[in-house]
Amino acid sequence: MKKINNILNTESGLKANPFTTPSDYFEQLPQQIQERKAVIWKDKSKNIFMALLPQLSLIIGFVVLFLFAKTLFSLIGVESDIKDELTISQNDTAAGSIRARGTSLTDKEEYIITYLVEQKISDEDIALLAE
Amino acid sequence: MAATYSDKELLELHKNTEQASYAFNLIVRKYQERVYWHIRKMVLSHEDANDLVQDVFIKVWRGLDNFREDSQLFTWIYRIATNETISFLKKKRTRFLLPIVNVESQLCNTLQSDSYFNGDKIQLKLQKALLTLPQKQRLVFNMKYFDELKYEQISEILGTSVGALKASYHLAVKKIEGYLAEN
Repeated sequence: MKKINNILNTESGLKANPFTTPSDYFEQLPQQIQERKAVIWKDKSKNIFMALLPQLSLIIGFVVLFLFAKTLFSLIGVESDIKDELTISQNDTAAGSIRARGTSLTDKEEYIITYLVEQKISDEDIALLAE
Repeated sequence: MAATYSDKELLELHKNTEQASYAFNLIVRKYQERVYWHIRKMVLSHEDANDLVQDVFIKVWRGLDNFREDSQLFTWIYRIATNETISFLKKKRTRFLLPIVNVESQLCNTLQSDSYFNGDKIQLKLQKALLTLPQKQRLVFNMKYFDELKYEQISEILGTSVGALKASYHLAVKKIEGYLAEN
């Protein structure tokens, strides 16, 4: 131990670095690292986009489908909507005429109003029944 | 330029988003040589050391945001370098399905044919002696003998107790003595 310690400590050449590098290696190394960093950064942004691509496609697909369906329904439903609106306003009138008679309605009257609205019975229907 | 900044100043500079890249560049310039030589003494070939030193600094760059200043910047970088080197040697071993002895003898051949090795006879002999040591013992010897690190610093880098490191270094010195006596 003592002997080798002497060799390791006294042989000054032993501690000297026996390895060398290509010339200007340490001047170029930071630049090489920066370049690798830039490549990784670029790949990272690309990877984020690629990872989100399926989800994005799915969302876009749903939006397109929704808009298509909405347009289609709005085109088909225009006529029936007009009819429904007329019927509802008539029903409202029929039910409204009952409501207009008093401030407080009994349960029975409330039931009749609900029934008239549900069955879409208009004022004219009621008049016809009264005859 | 980089040496004029303390580690603390470099880390503070890195926290500033606009200066982060500049700060990282300064960190590379400050530690590149120490990291390179630390790796080179383990893998011996310049090409391998060059790849590894770049990998190490890329890892440093990735981890710098999460670096908690529990340890010194220098020990943290050294630890990354050590782990990368150990993984590299392990991979090399599994890639070629070689037992430990063969990898070391392969490294020995690399050393002899390496155009970037300028050592004399005694230095070559010492390097060959080092190759007979187990990996961790070689690391300990390199850090203590060549890099002149304190046991406390080596302990922080390798996660081994100071007592175990002293024993490991003592054993390494004994083995080198044996090798040099025989050869």
